[in-house]
Parts: sequence; C-alpha cells; structure tokens
Amino acid sequence: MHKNKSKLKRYNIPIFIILMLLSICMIFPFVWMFLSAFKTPADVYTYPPKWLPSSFKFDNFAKVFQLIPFGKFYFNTIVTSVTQTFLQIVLSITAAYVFAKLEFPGKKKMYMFVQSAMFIPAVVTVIPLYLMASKVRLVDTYAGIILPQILGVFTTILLISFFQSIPDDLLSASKIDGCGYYRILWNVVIPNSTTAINAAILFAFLSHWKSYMWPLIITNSTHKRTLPVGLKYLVTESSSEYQVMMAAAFMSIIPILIVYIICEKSFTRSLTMTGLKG
Amino acid sequence: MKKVVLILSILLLAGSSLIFASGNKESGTESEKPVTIEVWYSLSGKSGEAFKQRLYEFTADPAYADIKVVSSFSGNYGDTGTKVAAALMSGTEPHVIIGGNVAYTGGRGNFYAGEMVSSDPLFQKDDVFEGLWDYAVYENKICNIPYGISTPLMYYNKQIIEKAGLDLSTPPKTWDEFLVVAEKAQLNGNINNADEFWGFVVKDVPWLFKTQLSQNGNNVFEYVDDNYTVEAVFDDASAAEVAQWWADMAAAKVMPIGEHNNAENVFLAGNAAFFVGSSTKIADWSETMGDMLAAIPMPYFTYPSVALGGNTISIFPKKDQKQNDAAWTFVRYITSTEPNAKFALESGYMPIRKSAIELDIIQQAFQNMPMYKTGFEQLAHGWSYINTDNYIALDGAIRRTIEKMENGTADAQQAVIDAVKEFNIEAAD
Repeated sequence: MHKNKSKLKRYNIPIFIILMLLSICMIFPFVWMFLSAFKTPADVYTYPPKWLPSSFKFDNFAKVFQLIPFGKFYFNTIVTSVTQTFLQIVLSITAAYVFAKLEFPGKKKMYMFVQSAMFIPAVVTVIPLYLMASKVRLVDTYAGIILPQILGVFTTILLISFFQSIPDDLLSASKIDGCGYYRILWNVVIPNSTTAINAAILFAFLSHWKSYMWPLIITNSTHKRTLPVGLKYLVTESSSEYQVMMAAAFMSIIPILIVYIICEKSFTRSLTMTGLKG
Repeated sequence: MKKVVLILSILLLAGSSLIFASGNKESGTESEKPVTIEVWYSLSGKSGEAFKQRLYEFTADPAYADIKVVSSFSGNYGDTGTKVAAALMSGTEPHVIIGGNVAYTGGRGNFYAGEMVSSDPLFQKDDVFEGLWDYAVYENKICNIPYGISTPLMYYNKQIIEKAGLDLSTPPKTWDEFLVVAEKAQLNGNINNADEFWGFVVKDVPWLFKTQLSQNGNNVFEYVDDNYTVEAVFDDASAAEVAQWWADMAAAKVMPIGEHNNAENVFLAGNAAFFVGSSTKIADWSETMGDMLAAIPMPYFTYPSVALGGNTISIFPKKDQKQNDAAWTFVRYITSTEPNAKFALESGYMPIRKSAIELDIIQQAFQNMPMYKTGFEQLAHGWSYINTDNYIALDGAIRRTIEKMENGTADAQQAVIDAVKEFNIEAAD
C-alpha cells in the first residue's frame, strides 16, 4: 500500500490526467472506426449515436471484397510500400553517412540544399514528377509508383543527426584497421544506429502506406492501384455506407499497427536520442 | 537488424520481379486490333458501378466490337483535376473523361464535343433538356456534354409530416409558404421526442442559395463585355430578398443556426422534417430510410428554377481520326436515351434526355419512387451559372453571408454587397 502511494507520488498527477485525456482524444476515432465497421446502416444513423453495434457481424468486411478488388489493392500496397521503404532507407543511410562523417568541398551548401527540399510541398512537385515519369514510360507501372518517391529527405536528416553522435574515434580506429567507407558503414555505423534506422523505417513505411495523390496520378489501371486510392472507390456522393468504408479503413490500417507495435520501443527511444519531437 | 535487412531484401526481390514483369500496356488480342480508347471516370460508389455496367454493356454489344475501352477511375473531381492537368501537360490525356470540367476543354480552346453534338444528327441534341447545356459551355460555346446531372431536391420525412398532421399533396409553392409548413412540422412532428428537432436542415448552403438566386432572376455572374469578362452580380435587391429569407428562417428557429455540416445525419436520424440535398441521394437513402423518404418540388421565389450539379463528359481529340470516331461513338452510346436512363436510375443522377420519360424503366421508377419523378420534372427548370474557377471563393462568400443572416449581425442588402466585395477580392487573389 505504502509502496503504491510512493509510486503514485512520482507521477505528476495533473499532467498525467491531461495526457490521459489527450490519449482518449487520439484513440477515440480508432475505436469509433472499429465499432462502426460492424454496424448496420440503421445503427450508423441512430440518434443519439450508438456506441456499440446491434450485433457483431462481418457483413461489412465481406461487402468490401465484393465491391472492390481489396486483396489486389492490399498486395500492391505491400509491394510498393516495402520496396519504397527499403530503397529509401538504403539511400538515406548512405547519404546521411556522407553528410555526417565525410568531408568534401561544398558539403555545407549541399546539406542546406537537401534540407530546403523538406519545405517544398509535395503537391508542387506532382506535375513535374509526372512529366518526367511519363517521358521514361513509367506511367501505370509499379516502378512509376515506387521510384519517384524514394528520396526521403526527412529520414536522411533524422539519420544524419544520429550518425553525428557516433564518436569519430570509433571510425578512425576502423580506418586504421583497414576498413573502407562501405565496411565502416556496414560494420560500425549501422550496428550502432539500429534504433534510429528502425524509426526511419517506420516513418518511411507510414508515409508510403498512406500515400494517395502520387499513386492515383501515375496509375490508370485498377489492378495497379494501392489501398488509399482503392478506398476512394467506396466513397459515394451521398456517403451513406459509412459502415463499409469503416470496415475497409480498419482492414487497411492493420499492417501499420503491426509495424508500429514492433518498432514502438526503438521509435520512441530514437526520437529521444536524436532530440527530435514528433 | 540483419534479420530486418534480410526480410526487406527478400521482399524487394519479390517487388522488383513484379516491377519488371509489369508493363504499362494492357493485354489485348493483337490479331483483332480493335481501336482502343482510354476513358477516365471520376465516379465512385454506386455511380461508379452504374457507369462500369454501361461500359460492360457497350463492350458486350457486337455492334461495337471494333472498339476497346480501357477505363480508369480518376478519383474525385479535385483529384481528377490534378491528374488531368498533369496528363494534358505531358500529352497523355485520355480520349474521354466522365466527370470532366469545361476548364479542361473550353478553357483550352477544345470545343470538339460541341462540334460533334451539333453536327451528328444521331446525337439528337434537342432531346437533351435545354438548361443542361448551360452546364457544359465555356464562353457561351458548348465544349462538354452533360452526363451525371443532379438537382437539389426538397426531401421530407413522411412519418414526421403525418405526425404533424400535414398534407403535402398540395405542397408549399413559395419559400414563405414553406416556412409556415416547416414551422408546423417542427411543432407537431417530433417522432423521436428528441431534444433538438428541426423543421428544416440543409448541408450544401451555397447550392440552395444559388438556386434561390436563380429563382429570383439573379444569374450570380454576368458577362460584362465581348471579351467574356465575368462580374459577380449577386448584390442587388433580388439577392437581398433571398438573404432575408435565411434570416427569417433563423429568427423562427426552424433550422439549426451555423450547424449545417451535420444536416444529413440529423435528417436521417428522423430529427428534421425537411432536408435539401442532391437528387443523387435518392438511390442510397431509399435503402436507408425506406418508405419514410419522399420529396416535394423545390419551393421558389418568383419562378421555379434549380441550380444544376453533377458532371459532364470531356472529349480530347487525337491525331488518329479512328480513335476520335471511336471515342465519339462511345460517348454517343452512353448519352443515348436508354443507357443514360439506366445509369441515372442506378446512380441517382437524372437522365439528360426528355425522351427518357417514354421508357418503361423510368415510368416504373416514377411509380416506385415518386420523388424521382419530382427530380426529373425539375430538369425542365434546370439552370447553371457561368462557369468560374473561383467557385470555392464564391461558396465561401455565400456561407459567410448566410452566417451573418442567421446570427442577425447584418442587414440583408449590406450582407450581399459585402459578399460580392469579398468574392471579388478573393477571386483577384
């Protein structure tokens, strides 16, 4: 009892309550989405709103598969997101290593140039990117979805700040032992940066999983479409089938939840270590 | 870490093989060599399904065996705009866009669709409701073809009206008469005994306001010179009368003030007697509300008129005349009486042709859903204001005007004068 009291004292109760309330606000839409996925149209439009569905049936989930090729959209999203994440992380790690640990003429200017890319809204780059992609015949291909989206400035900057914290002496010692740039990167830098790399993977995967505008613009065939575009097929002008949309939305976030649960610890740790705030 | 890299590598290899295995060409029979046309459509849900069904029927018809249509969903109207802009700049635009905009065609000097509807007697241009062409013109010249056309409809909840003891067999004709009916429905029709119960709700306030302006002889915009310079004109006495009606409705507490976004849910939950919304809701809401849903003709100020909504068809001619002919054949097919009527019935849009009334399926629909007849009859009073790229600024100015009227913070005449000023500033920006 005494132990519990002292434990409780360690918490800042008002802050704890505020965080609890904020957490509820954050979780509420997800809980609502989950419960709505089981509702009937009548449940959705009942007033005052009903929290629980009248019965937990999977009809809405089945209807999603009847209305759209949900499996194909899912498959496309997994293929493109994983490939994009992999390529983006490879490029980000190598670029971050160069900026954090190597010296070369014009480094500062180039770093500023890379940073400035973060401030250009994605919507501005859509049309020029499309023009380039169409010139090299990438329209309506998986490569067209993947390649133009693999240059992740944010993940590069995240990794730069982490790589800078690795002592230079460690790298010098490896150099003396005869390691080249790539060996130092592979054997020294990467093993010492797993938390930051995991966080970068999570960030990259999240942004690719939910990417909507680019896959919509670059693809024309239904069988090349990804989940965010596919979900739009369900939206009607009168939007009266919320329950079906909720079922589709719920199924579409499952991989994100899994990835987040796996990476959560290293994600929060790396944010603390790199001094970044979400 | 190594495991993560290994798993990602395997997935990358799988992904890469798929990338290289996939080309950007659709599979097809090379030997038959039908003319292939590309069609983008910005219709989703039931409308999208209804369109795809027409596409299937076209493809299955032996008369059109020499045409192959490759279709693609292009997102909502906004997304389609971005997609089309990119495609037009790179020369990869499709042959046809369902859900097109006159800016894509007329705005770029493309009046091909207008030339075709006038020159092809098989199209029967005069059979299309006249007002619908207003929706497909750019600088007074036809550049698109009306397709998925909707009108605002005055829906009501039968159960509420019955409980309130009202008889709508002779519906209110004017907005003043409507206010009286809505008040009575609110007073006696609370079927749920809800704490908040309303006589009337509307979500798309600007659409109704524009409809009302047209009913009072105000065209929202007018050309002021031969260069097609457009000027906003909704600042006169006719507009002020419309604005005043909103103030009267708010003063009578018949509708919720400033809470229009939730109007659909309030009406569907049975907590409002009347609702103004798109005729496209007929198909979906008939399932949700069943027999409780009905509609009356839109009340009016001076004469009946409804602002049209929906989408049009854009055609982009190519160098290959065979492709252009194929694209036109396809467009003529989907806009012909029966396919268009079927599309309309399944999607909730209205048929574009007067001759649709002769079809059994339309007569059947009128019998089963009298509100569909109400919507169809309103097409005779269809109206559209001059197309502007600044409709967001226009709708914003209207929303703020209504807000002022509902809150009683401005005189009606001054509110509409301010609205035009605000619109002009935003449009200039």
